[in-house]
Amino acid sequence: MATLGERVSRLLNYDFCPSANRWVYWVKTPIASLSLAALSALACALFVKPIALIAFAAVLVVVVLGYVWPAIAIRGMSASLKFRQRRVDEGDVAIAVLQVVNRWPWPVWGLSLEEGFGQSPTLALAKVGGLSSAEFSWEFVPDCRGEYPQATPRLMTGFPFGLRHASRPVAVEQTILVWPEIVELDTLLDAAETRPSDDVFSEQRVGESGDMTGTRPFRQGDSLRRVHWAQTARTGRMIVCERQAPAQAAVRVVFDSDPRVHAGQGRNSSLEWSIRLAASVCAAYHREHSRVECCFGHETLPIEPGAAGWQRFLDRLARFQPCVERHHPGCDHEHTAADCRKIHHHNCGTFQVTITTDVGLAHRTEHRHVHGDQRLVVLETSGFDGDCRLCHHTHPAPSRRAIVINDAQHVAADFQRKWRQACHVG
Amino acid sequence: MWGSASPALAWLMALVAAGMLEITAGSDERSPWTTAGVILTEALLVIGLHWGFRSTGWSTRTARARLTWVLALALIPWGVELGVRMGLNAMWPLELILLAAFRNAVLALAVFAHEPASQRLGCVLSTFLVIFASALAADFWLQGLVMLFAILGVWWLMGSYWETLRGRLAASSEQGLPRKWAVLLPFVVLLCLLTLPAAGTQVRALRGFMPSSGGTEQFSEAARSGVGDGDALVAGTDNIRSFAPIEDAPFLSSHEPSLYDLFDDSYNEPVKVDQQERAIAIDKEFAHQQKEHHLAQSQIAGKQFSTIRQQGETSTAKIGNRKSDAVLYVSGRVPLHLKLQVFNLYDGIEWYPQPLANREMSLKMEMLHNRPWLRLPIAAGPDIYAAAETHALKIVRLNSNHIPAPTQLLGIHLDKVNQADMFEWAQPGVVRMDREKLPSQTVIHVQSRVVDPRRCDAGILNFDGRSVIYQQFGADPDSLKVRELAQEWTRGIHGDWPQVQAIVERLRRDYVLDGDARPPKDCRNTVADFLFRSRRGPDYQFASAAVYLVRSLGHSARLVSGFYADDRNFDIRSRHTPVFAVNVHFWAEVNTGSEHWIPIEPTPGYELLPPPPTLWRRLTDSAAAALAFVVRHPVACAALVLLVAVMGVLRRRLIDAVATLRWRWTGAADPRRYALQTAALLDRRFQRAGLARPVGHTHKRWLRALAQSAAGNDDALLEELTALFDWAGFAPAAVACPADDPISVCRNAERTWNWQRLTRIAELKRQSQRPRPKDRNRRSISLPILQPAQRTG
Repeated sequence: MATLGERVSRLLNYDFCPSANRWVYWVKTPIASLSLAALSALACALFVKPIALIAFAAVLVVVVLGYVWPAIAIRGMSASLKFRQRRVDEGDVAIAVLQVVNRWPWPVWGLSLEEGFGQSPTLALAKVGGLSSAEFSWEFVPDCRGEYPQATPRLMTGFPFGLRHASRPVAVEQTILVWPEIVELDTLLDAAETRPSDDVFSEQRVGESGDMTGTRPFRQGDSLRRVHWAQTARTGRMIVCERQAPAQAAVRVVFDSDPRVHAGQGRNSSLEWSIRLAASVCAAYHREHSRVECCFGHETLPIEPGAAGWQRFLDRLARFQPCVERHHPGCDHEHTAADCRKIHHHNCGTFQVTITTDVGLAHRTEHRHVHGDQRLVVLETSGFDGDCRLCHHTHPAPSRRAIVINDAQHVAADFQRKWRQACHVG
Repeated sequence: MWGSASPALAWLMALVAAGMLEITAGSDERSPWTTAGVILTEALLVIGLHWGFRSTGWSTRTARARLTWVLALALIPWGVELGVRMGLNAMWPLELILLAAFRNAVLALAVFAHEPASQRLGCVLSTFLVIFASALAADFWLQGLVMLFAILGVWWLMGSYWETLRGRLAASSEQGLPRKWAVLLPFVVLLCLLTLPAAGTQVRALRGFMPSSGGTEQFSEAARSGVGDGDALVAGTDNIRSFAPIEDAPFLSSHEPSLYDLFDDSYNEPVKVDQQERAIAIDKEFAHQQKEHHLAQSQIAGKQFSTIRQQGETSTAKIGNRKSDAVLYVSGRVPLHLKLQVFNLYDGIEWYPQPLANREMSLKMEMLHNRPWLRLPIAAGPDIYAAAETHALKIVRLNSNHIPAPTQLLGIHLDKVNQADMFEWAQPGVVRMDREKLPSQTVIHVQSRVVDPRRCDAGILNFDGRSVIYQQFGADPDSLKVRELAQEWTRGIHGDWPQVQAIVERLRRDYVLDGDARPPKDCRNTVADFLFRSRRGPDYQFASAAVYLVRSLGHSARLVSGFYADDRNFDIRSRHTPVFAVNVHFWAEVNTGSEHWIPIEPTPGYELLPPPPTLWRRLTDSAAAALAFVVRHPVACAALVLLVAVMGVLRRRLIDAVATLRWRWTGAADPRRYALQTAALLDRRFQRAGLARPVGHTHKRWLRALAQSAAGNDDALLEELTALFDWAGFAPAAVACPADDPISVCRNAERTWNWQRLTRIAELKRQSQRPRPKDRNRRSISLPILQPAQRTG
């Protein structure tokens, strides 16, 4: 049973009117507190004792200076931003270079670069001298894929008191693409669908066509056209020719991009991990010269062979932004709402690796149709601190063949282990 | 550095705020030592509890319950007051209880100042506590604490902002708070000082806003001081601030000059002119009325005023020196003209008081907020008045039964006087009490309204034909010359009111106020003599000339005598204006019809009470007053700013000089302690010079590095000094001192590593770190060293 103190604490910390917070939370800002203090001092001066004008003047000076000076200071500033690298992986170090110009004859203190860098710490500048240009570089470690800066960064200052923050946009001379992290996979699942290929092949497929590689005893079902008659005559038993042809495996990697079926926020959300796992599977197959296409949302991206194709694919993944409720401003997709989530397969019957969540599996908001063999990779949303946003029910565990990721803290290791197990065991 | 400095500043702010409250609350009840003890106890409590909670981890374990504790502490004063009220039958003032609750919350939050949320809330509450405590403070020097708090607050705000940048600052940037911004602090103080003129002149009090601060409707036995007209104002027995110097009252009551004594003291006795023909003839009808009036009112008001007075020094100087001999005190806006007598007839020498007409409307008593108010009838008239306002007059030593009152009097209130027949008309617009003289030590509240000049249009002086007695004008040659002069002054000016204003303006501009100037004894028209010959005279000459000039243009005007509550006499501390005997004054009134009079002030140096200013007007007036203060004292202000700026620029050097002096005077006799003190002194000096010894560097290593930078030849001293420092810091007591004369080694070191040398080294260091300029014509470039420096240009 809670003690009296705990009850009072709970009562005092309880938000009785959450809807009213937006009307009263401004009181928590320093400028509001000081403005109220100034008004109180003025009221005391007018109605109680004029000597309170001294306190009023002191508070007023602070409020006016704190409100006006940042706006004045920032008006003389301009800045541009560029990155030394064009592309990096998540967690890699990128060198960002900020060039700041101060047109005021006096120094400007307490500047910071804000917005557009996610959760990563950005740069703060103690001082930029008057009538000077300065260049600052810092190590930017992006924690999540994307094109950085994600929004127009702003050069901001609240100096001297932080009562008001004035800002100016920073010109971005060059952005940086952050590719999703790749989980190394040393084995591959068999892809049922193969295509003959003379130029690029991922494996040799024994079959009815191709070059003759040897002979073997006749087995029931072999075509008589493949009987090696000379060997048959020599050995006295039926010998057939063994043929094989170079072939290219084809695989489709699909991941659920509907944010409603995912859980978690930012880098450790199930959506971001879905993208990373999809990229990892694609990388593994692409490395083995398979024909890989990746499908997400309303897009189907065939990955072209070679490094250039792989780079274009990762660039696209880096820039991908899921359509939350309506199309993203950068989305040029013209589908109607009903068709928005439909996938457009170029080839039916291709072996498909589907990466989704238990919620996505239950509601199937995307990728409803599967034509061919499929292997599921399921991230359990409960591990990502989320429940079903669509029905708020618990969904049953997926089938035994699915690769289920339930350790949200160690997704990469869990996936590596279970993928290897699936490859070996089936 | 700021990460640890912010809690300390928050403590200081809380303690200054709490200290202000303790001093304010204990000003009349506790000795200064007791107050100091209370403040010290609070400081020790905060520090002790802070240390205890942090060391035991209690502060983190009970983070959620903290609000409960703060609230409980804030509620304690209410419980204590209840206990005091029930047990001791005493009361605490409501405002002090509220502020004590604030204080407890502030101190409780200061205990947890190491946590940002508590620190921020504590600082905000401290600010409010300082504001409220300063408003209640009786001692002016406490405003110095307000400024100290402002400086601490500014520093805390800057530090808090800097904390948000810390950790992200480029390595090439300064990591500490920009010290040059410290010059801002003196300007905050200076701006506060500039408000002093306004803070000292504004007079307005919100009556009845809190029971324990006095008021119109509610009052409390626990009232600390009087605001408004509550019981404390009338009683005024315990606190001198309640209204007037009550302690002087027994002495003052022994000498109560009559109204006419005051006039004679101020203007000398009138010259007796027995057989002299008056220049201006008074109509028979008026003369008859006057005679009757004299007979009927001989005991009270009917005494004419002669404009020919005896030469020689007046009694003004003698009276003026006795500043405590106030005739009455005024609470409310000043300057204020308090009318006592009106004159309408002028014969060239004397002004005759206006008799009371038979048609004066009756006076009525009405209750307003349970207080009796004598309501004066108001005739319909033009809408030229500002909002009504109330003044409180405390009569001290006036031997008259006329109630001094502003021109447009609306009501009179005397506590417990609820019968209208206690009052009667003395003259038109002048009320008197039905007794021989006004009771001494009585507070009279008068409600009136002033004319708003912005509402006066050109045709406001709309004579309605009834006030012909106010247009009495002579036909003698002097009077005709006066009329010509008035016409000349108003030529090209259309409208009645602009003409009157033009006359007043010319009198104020072209004529000189001279209290000793007297017309010749054989003068037959003192106004003409004043206007054309002497062009100087006392205030009654100005007023007479104004009335006569205005009348010459056909308007109604009259002469008024009474008191002038001079705003220059306003006492900031008591917020009252004493009116002395020297403040008797004459002015004029012009009539707009229907007994509506507009006062005009033709005497230079005297001002009419303006309408209550708007808030904007108050602010602009305050700004103008502050500016005027600076303009009046340019040298002092410039010197102050210069001094503060120089002190700001040289602050580190000054601090170092003080620290060095202290080291010299208080240096220990023990060599080990002396060496440690020297090491500390040098450390602080290095720090101030921007050469702070890095963490992990020994004195030996750092001094060697600096010596290499300075390229000095002091290796021997360095060896000796570092050995001495090592011995003092680390050697056991049994080890002997390595230096023969450690004191002289330390002193040599202090002289060697002097301020000039260190600043030179610091400058060399800065130059070596300064980036190469990119554009020599316009900009200099500062480059970061976070990464391998990217130098441009």
